[in-house]
Amino acid sequence: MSGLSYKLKGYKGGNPFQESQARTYGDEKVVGEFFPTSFFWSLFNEQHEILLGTRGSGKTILLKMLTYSCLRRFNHPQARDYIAKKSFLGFYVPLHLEFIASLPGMEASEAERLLYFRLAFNCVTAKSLLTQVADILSNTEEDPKKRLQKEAQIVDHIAPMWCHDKEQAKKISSIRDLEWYVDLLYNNMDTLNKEGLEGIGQFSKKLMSPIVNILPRLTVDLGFDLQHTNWIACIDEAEFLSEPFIRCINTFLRSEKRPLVVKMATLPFKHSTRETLVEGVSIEPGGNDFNYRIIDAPWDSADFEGLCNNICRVRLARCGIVDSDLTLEKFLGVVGQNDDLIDYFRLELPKEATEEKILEGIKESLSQRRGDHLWSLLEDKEKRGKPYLNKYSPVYFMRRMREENSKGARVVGWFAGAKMIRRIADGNPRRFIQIMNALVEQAREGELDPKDQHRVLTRFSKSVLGESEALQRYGLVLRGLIAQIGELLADRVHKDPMVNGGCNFRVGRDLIEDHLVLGALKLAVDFLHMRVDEDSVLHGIGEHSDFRLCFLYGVEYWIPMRKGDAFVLRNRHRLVNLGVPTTRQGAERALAQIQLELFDDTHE
Amino acid sequence: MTLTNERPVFRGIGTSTQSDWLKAATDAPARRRLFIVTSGYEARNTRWIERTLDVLALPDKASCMVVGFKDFPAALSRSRNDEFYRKRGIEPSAESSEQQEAFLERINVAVVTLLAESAGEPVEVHVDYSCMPRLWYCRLPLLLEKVLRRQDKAYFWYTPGLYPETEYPTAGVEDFHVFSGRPSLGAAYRTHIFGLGFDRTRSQAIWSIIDPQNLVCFYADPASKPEYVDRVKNDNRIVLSAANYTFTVPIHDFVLAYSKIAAVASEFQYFGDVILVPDGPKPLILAASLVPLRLGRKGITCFHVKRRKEEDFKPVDVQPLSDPVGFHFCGRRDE
Repeated sequence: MSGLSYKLKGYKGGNPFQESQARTYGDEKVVGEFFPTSFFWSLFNEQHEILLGTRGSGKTILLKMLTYSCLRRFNHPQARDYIAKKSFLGFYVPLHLEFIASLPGMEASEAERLLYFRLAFNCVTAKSLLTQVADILSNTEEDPKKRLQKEAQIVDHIAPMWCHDKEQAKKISSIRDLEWYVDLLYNNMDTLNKEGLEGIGQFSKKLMSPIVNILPRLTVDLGFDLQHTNWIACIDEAEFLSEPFIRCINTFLRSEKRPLVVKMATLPFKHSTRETLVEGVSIEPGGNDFNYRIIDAPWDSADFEGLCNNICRVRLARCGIVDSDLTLEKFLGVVGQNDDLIDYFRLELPKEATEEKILEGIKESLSQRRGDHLWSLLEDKEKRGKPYLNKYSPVYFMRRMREENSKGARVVGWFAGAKMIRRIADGNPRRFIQIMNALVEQAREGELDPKDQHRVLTRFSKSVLGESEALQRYGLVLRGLIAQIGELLADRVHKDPMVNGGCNFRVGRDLIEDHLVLGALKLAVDFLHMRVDEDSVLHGIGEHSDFRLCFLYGVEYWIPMRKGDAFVLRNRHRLVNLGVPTTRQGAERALAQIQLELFDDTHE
Repeated sequence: MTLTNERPVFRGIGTSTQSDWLKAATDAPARRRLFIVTSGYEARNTRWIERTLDVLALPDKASCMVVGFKDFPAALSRSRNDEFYRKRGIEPSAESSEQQEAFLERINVAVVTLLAESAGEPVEVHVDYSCMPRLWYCRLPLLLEKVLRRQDKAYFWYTPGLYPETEYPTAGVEDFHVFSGRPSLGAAYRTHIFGLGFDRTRSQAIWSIIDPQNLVCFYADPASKPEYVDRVKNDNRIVLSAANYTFTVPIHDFVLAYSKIAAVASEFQYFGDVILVPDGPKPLILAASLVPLRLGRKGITCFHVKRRKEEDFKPVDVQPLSDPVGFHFCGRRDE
């Protein structure tokens, strides 16, 4: 069982898992911690793509790694190949909330607001491109004299295209000057009225036209092959864009193709419209105008396992656990042969952990009909009870473990082990780092055996549930919904007769049609409190959407972290449409109306 | 009343308590004064003006402008407040708390009239901002500094309040707007300096939206009441535990509070952009809001997060707690 976590006992240094945001990292750190998933490599294509990912799913690190300055630092054959061929050159464009919220013209007409947006967006994109061009120059041209000549040539071509004042264009002689000019345009934005904005040339006319117009020449000036070089605008934090601004970007996606390709990251339900600025024209996914790509990895994918191990290896090295083959399993230790549920069950209840005993326990917990069926199978040596064992043992284990855990001061070591931690992290790197942060705190205080891990994960799940009410707008209602759903699902698992329970559920039409409930469900998915199937993310939530509570709530409510039989959530009464509550009392009033119950979907 | 791009100077800025000012005012020769106060649902609306008029009965040279809120016209202490002013012969006007421009224009007209009547003598404009919305009071220092002459003084007064335990509104992305400053283009590193108050739900909602990289928190200490410090720390423990740094500012000393916030903002600007997100007591919100304007550097921004007063908003009757505190500065206009 013993893992390397014991080495942290008494460790007094900083917790290497305290930081959980890629936005904090510089290029070196981004590269140092990056694990190249298959999804990452699939982003090197010529298609506009909108990357949909929950908070903490790794959108920022993926986009940053697409930039030239990060990719060239990455020691990987495929990265080296892209860099050598100059086939994909990315630049990172963050759309911070303060950037969007500081745009002038909030009280002006939509057309005027769009002028300001285009100007600001083009400025941030242009500056980001210039940063990468400077990096490309300093890394592709070793001879300083030639480098300066190349830079002068590039600037000579860009300046007249960007500066509406020809005299000013003549004064620009370096990339720094161009950056200064872009800053000037941006900083003086609020001194310009509509006519002034229209008079400053292409920066306020079409989205990214300053970039599109210079790219062919820039590519040639840099000495790259125009036919094979693609430039990637990596737009991050698009969740802060309002609909008119999204329509503006959609218009670009509809009309422009390579050599400029857009990869734009946002939360799953924040690409709220496919309309363009042209009335009646929308963008089509599926490769026509763009593709949607879902970032979140399944918890049990090889990609997520590799990513978790990589984070552990890099970060634990900072506190002295240096091992080039370090895995989460090595750090925590492994129980039994496979570190599976049965192994942890056996650890707690060794006498009950035989196949016969488990099947007996399952039979007793099932309804008479199902129990008898199970027993008839057992007599059939061919079939045995394997299907039943696979289907019901996770539910049975969960029931027994909760029973044991509720005995006085007894704490079971149930929510523990590497697989369980990846499961609870739900494929989300940030949640994984936050769990590791809590585990490292425990490890330096004392032990990190399964019981300690169980305690840490229980505290962690409780704290995340508490934080859910803080989420914007629908948070207070969301917390109430999670609590009701969690308890209903737990009842299915822990009451008699035992059923094939899990974290999944569907939502009845009456609830989905309620603005408040739908808003809370979308928020839950965006911020990783619930999961929903990909089709619902791409095409909208409906009666057939497969929801589940995040596996973290399996800890809080003792629900098997798996898909069980489908149940439908319905409200006991007809909902009267309420506004979005903004206070706890308002949320309580709304929640008083929401009295959920579960129906067996198979009886529909 | 466009005030953007005005970098304030706040010449001769200093901190005062009302008691000290009243003592000095009674000892000095009478001045031409304008008192700008409010009438709303809070009991503390009248505390500052009541004490002032007890000592300085409205003489010929002083005038009082009472701005009554259109919102909640009969809630809680509103009737009592209106009655208080009417007894003294002052009729409250009616303004919507959402109307920033109209309010500023009214103040501008009143101050210009006062100056016209002053015949070159120094004047004083006193603003009790204890119950004003931030849309109003955060712009007023800029307006007054611009309009007043070098010999004139502006005073801003705040009556600390007794806050009952209550629930406050949450927030959404659409409630954020930049009050002052301008962010850099694509800043690689950002620090959020977050002012905390009693609004736990709201603080956490704001925190979840801004998703800060480097979080710095501040709160009032000393606060209006010693137990308020513990309440803020307890209510905001989740946000505070996520902060990389925390500092405190005194609610009673505006100048020191402003200086500390400005110093921290300057310090972190070395690493990248700084975004102030003030909440909590009004003097702290005002101080933080003025920082980007006073420092006048790109890359320091101040957010205001709007409080939506929707159906379930319940006004809170904040009682006055202690001696009003304030700050003052001189005008910058040459005659």
